[in-house]
Amino acid sequence: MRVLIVEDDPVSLKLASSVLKKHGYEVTGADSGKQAISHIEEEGDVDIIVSDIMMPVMDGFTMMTYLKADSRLSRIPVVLCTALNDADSVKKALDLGAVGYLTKPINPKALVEKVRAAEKGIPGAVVIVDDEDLLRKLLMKTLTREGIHTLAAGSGEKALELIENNKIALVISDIKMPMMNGLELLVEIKENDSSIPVFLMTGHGGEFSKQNVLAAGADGYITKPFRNTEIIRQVKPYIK
Amino acid sequence: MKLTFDYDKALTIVDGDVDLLKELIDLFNEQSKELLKNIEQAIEAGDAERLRNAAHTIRGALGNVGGVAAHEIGSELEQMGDQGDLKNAHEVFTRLRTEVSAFVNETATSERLMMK
Repeated sequence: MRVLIVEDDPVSLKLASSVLKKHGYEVTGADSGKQAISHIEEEGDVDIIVSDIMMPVMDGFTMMTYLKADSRLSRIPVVLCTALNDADSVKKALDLGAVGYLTKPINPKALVEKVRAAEKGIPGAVVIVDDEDLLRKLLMKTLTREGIHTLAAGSGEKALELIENNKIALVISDIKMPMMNGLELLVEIKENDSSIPVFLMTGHGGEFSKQNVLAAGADGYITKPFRNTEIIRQVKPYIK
Repeated sequence: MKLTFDYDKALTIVDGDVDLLKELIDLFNEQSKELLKNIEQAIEAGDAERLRNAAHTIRGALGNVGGVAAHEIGSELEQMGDQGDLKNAHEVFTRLRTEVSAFVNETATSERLMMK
């Protein structure tokens, strides 16, 4: 789990990051809302944000308003830190969609609790596995536009790596791929964690029928070329 | 009179992790000049909003390391910035600077921090 801490005071930043690292989180720091947004837009690798409110350049409220207005970023849960007894800020934080708040000075136990709670609430990602760049991108775009968090894998091996390191709602994999094919990937995923749903997709009239694929243990079947609305209809129930 | 360095309070904040507390204090002591400079520049420029932010920042940092006396003075400056009234800011800043250096000295020689 990757946590971005947004805090202009170096001591609070250090405190929060030491505590979270000790609890196994990967931590990055930013010293303003502006830096946080550039980080997310450039690296895109953040699961949870813990942010101060009062900061120069861009404060926590402005940053949240920006994130919530962007369908690709609005899914990232934000925990805001407020001064003690600042009821107005707490209300504003929650109104803007913060999943929780902490009062300063930050208490390590409370910090870990809030981050864990935020982690539980994160909707899992959809992993899209296809060796064909174009199709993978097309599918990602279709789902991302619906506000669904997607992760891309160009191979079965890469998909397994992503599954190990992320919270996963669903895997959609092509069948025909070099090295590990979709059916092998399916077996591998289910062996590790049978609760992860897997859809397989094949080209029209390919060698695998819907019955074959479902018999092999897949949770769903998609025929290429796919229709956007059909894909979304099938995927949505898996996004909690 | 608030304590310059409230060891017990600081230790509560880090849940008893003395090593972490030492790291935080080292970091604060290292950064304190920079943090104070930001405040001084804001006062010289007569920039109330910048003063509010800079004072808020040092106050946050002091809150994490148990610098309660300086924390309180930082609050005064933050309020002045918030209300846009800087006429006494310089005098309060001087008190803050004195209190911060007292904090740096006291933590550098604190037996309780060194014993662990």
